[in-house]
Amino acid sequence: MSLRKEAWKYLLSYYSWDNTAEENKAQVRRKTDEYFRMKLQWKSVSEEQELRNSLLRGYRSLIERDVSRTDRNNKFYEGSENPGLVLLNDVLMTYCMYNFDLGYVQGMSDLLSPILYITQNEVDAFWCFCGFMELVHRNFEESQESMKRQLSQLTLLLRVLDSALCDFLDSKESGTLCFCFRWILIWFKREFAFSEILQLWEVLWTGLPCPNFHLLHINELTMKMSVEDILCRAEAIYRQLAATPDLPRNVQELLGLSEGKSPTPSTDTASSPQPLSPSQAQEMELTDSVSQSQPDSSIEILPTEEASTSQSISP
Amino acid sequence: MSYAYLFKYVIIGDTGVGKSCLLLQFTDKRFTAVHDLTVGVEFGSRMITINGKRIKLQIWDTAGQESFRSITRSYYRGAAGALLVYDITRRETFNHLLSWLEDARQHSSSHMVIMLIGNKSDLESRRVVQKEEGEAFAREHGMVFLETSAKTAANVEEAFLGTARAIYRKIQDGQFDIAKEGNGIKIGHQQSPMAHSGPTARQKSQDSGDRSGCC
Repeated sequence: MSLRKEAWKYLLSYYSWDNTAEENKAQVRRKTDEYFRMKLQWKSVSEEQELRNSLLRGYRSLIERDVSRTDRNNKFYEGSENPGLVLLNDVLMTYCMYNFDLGYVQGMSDLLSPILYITQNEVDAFWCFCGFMELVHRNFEESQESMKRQLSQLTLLLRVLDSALCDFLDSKESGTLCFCFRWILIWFKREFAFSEILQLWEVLWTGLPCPNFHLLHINELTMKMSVEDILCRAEAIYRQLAATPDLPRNVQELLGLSEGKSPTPSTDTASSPQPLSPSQAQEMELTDSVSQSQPDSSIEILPTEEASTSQSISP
Repeated sequence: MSYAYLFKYVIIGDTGVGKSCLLLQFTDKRFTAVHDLTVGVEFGSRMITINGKRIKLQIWDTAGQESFRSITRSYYRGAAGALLVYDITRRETFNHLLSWLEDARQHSSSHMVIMLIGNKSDLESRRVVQKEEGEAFAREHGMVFLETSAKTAANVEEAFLGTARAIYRKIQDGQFDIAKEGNGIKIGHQQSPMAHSGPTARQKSQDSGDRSGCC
């Protein structure tokens, strides 16, 4: 736990890998000042002033509403007087000041909650959250271009990995994979136990073994498999794809395989921090990973009986 | 379980008006004060019976924040019914109805049945939108109107079933071309007398000669 608390500061670019301990300390002092300066900005807006600021008012009421709907079964956020709720609220409000154009978008509270839980510190949580948002802020933009792109990238991967499943989803009008939206937006947060998310995210933050590694996790049975197992399988899928001759060019690019065949991170992730390697690479039966899947009862998307029409619901 | 028809619904409206709670009350007959906010889209389903026909409702519950509209829009397509929900204790959720309605009408099949729902009727003491206002808005825009409480379950069944009855009536009147794709209705293998000869279960749609090509 305490190792994780320190490691996350590096993984999320709050601390720099090249800094000395002294330099990191100085960084914390600077960032602490900066945080409280931004916090004061929204704290000091009077009620009367806020009446003339609909954007801020909107963020505030939305955050309030969502803080009361985020991980309330977790000890750190349960009950109505829990200090964890205030921290969640304050960090999200301050993030609006940090990035006012983006502001608060639903899903962000899910991304912050585990970070706050691990760091147990408002300032650390804020800057780690900013580091996380640096990776995913495009997913929250109003155009939703990034989300749409990832869903189509996912279709592309699924087509290569399991075209039968792809056909099946098409026949059930689910070929656009819109049911995967939440999985991608909040990085599987709701699909695994809280403790497993901690491990999954830190692996994904390393940017290893390839860009877009998160997309390879998707053909799995959510909430019913261990995260360890899924990481191994995803890495196995990646290694199999990397070793596949004649892989379509767009798939190669997606996984950073386009320059030669070596499974090293592409330039996208060149600046990513070093390891925390995602566990032992094992060669596994690729086919298992999808053929065992059954629809999760909580996300019933397919009329299981029959489909007499077949159509696409592409946006 | 077999069904005569499958109707696809969407639930739309501002964040926090109780969309997910309405769905939970309808599918599970329970209410939870503490639940996670909806991200993207979530799904529920329940079997109902109308005029002796088994009908499966497949319900898409959407995120309410404006930022997700461009995604939500793609869900309207292929929906036969929509519940447009506001919160009777928050005026702004009522004020946004027109924008939701325009969005829904613009991106859905023209026959989509839309029901207007004023939720949280159990919070009478905090009411700011009068029932008459909801009724007037619904009348003006050709919708059926109900006030519901996802907490006490008041009118929740009626909201979902009433919408289904309206869709069913439209099918019988021939307003819905059920052979056509994208109107949110599927015919199950429990054929109704007036249903066309669709392909049987597990048969690929391209095997059927009497329908237009798909994707």
